[in-house]
Amino acid sequence: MKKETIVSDKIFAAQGPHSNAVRAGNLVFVAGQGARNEKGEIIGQGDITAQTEQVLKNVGALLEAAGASFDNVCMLKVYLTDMRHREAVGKVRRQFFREPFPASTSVQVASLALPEQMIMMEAIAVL
Amino acid sequence: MNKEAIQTDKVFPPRGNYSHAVRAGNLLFIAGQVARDQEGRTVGLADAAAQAEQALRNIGALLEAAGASFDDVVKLNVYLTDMRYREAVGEVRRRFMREPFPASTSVQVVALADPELLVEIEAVATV
Repeated sequence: MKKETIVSDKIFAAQGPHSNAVRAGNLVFVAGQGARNEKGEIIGQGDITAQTEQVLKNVGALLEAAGASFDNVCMLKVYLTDMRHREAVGKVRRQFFREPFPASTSVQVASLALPEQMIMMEAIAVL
Repeated sequence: MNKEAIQTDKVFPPRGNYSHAVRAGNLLFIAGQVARDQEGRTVGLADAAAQAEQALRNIGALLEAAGASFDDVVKLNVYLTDMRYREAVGEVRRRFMREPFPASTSVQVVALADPELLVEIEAVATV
């Protein structure tokens, strides 16, 4: 099976030995995305809604670069630094996803890559 | 690829914009399941083994609704609020799974969706 790194100009380049997304056959794996813009700056400090929007924009850009869309997402994993943000995150998710919604798991973790990061999302899409 | 949400009366409907399970081709993604019975009540308060059992029953019902069984599970992710629950959860898992066991990752998280939840289990199956 051929494995291909997916890149997008809209996404800050991966920092470290990982890809932001990988496609193999009809599967697309999107690495956990934080609220970074294309310059690598964290968007929405202290603002979970703004961070969630940026995260999903990044996921969307990678899906698009892989020839997929949010409709192809079958699994979404959400890592929060505070479970009380879940409702606000849900409101943003509703703007990006439509039925049938992906299977999804949300957990609260002790920390993400940077202290100002409040949310990270990873996705698996099937083309 | 056709993407389909899997539902069953045996699992309380999702609270939010996600599906408990999604099937696409021969892949089945099951969202993190917790100790909620079909009425949405949390069972096994302060009892990680009882909670794992309910979570696995939910997974079993979703697998069944998709025409699959525990034998089809290839990946399991287990989220615990305390790593000391791992042994008790492992004993319950052994009653539901047989060899060849799925690949599995267990981590301790700070919190799950509700404070009374101690265990969450998600699965990927090939049908």
